[in-house]
Amino acid sequence: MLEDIDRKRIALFFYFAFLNESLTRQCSLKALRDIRRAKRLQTTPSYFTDRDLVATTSRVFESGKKKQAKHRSVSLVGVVNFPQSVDLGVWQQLQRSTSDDERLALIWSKLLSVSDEDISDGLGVTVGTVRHRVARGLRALGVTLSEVTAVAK
Amino acid sequence: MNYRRELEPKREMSSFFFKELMYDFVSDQLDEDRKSSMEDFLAKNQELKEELGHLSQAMDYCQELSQASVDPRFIEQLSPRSMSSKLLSAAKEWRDWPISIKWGMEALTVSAALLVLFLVVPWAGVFDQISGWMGSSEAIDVVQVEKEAVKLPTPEELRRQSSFGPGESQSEDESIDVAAAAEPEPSTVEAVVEVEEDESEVADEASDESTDVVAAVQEERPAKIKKGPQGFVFYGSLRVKDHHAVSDALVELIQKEGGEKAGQVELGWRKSDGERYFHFQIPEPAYDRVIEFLQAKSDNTIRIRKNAHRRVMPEGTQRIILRLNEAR
Repeated sequence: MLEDIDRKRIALFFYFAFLNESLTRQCSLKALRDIRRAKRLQTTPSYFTDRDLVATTSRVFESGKKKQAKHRSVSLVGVVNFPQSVDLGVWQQLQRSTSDDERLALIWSKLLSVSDEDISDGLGVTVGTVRHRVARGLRALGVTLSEVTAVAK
Repeated sequence: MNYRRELEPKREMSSFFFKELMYDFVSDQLDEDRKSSMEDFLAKNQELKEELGHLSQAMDYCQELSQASVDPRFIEQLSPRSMSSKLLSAAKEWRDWPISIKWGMEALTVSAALLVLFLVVPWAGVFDQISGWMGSSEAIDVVQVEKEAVKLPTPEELRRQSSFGPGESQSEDESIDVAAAAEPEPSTVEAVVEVEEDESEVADEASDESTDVVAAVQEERPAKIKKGPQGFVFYGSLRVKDHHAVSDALVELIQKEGGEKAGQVELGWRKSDGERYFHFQIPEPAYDRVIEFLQAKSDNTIRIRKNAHRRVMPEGTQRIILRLNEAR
């Protein structure tokens, strides 16, 4: 069963992955379509798990990345509402300093609160690999934050 | 196993290892020994303290970022509850329809397209165009049959025809007689009387003609005769003195009167036995003059027979076959 919370998490993932409203909509719809198709093919009903979330979003991200070249502009309006204290520019800058694996691992682990075990099951890698990617992502984010802070000062 | 730990040398901590283990250190995933080792190392290294501070900031930033919420209107667009999005998503997701419905829709579409094609396209014109490209569309006459009532000759007529055919005239009675010559219509010649039948001449001529039968038959028999209205031919035989001179004069007379040969051989054709053979057509008015000429040249009477023949001459024209022989 697909709940609203699942739709929100899917939308958040693609938003943070692409920072583009159009791509977010397209990839979210495609991910939901894939999930519904997979559910129809199942003989027994099952819930949508974090493992399913990781597997689906990872697959759709790869197809969405090809369209990213056509959607260079970043549109940050009308999709996600942030706390006022959050500077989304940092995250935008992070996209240039990290690899896709590290950034996506960061999104699943820290933004969507998916456990390392579910991430490893969804991606088909070891837990150690997941933690390594998260660590490197956090280090890059920390460096970006320090640079932004230094500039602000 | 404490004694084993005491025996094993303590692993040295380095900046590289510290950075690699920093996340585990912050998330409390390390064992006590590793943790204490890192704490000891951290106390001695200011740079790593900054690194650790950055890592903590990053984690705090992620914590704040995770509190972002998606606009409900955006979720509504993703939700299949609204009819428009339902229809839109259904149209876009036609590949996900059940196979039976997809096949049914495809069959329906193809059937509708074919129906429109059959109703709209002018097929008669198309077929005419195609037949025109392939060749003439007109019917080809293979056989032309004339459906006319054909009067079959009676056995009597057949007998007479075969007996008076060219080259078959040997059965003719060659005696010469002239019927009241002035027969107003030559076609009425039937009985001609009076005469001097020279039966011996008839027999001789009959035998003489046997050699010329083939040529005469070929000459007389028309190439193509249509069944239908019958024509007539006049047969005659004559013995005159100096028949060659008479024949030459007769040729001139016939030509002068507008006559011409009616067969393949020339007028006054010389046969092998000396007989002169005439097969000609002449206008009806000149017929009497020809007969008078011949009668004047002969001491005997001219006997002319008129027989029906399949060959039809033009109106006003008579066809005549004459044989001239030397008088004895």
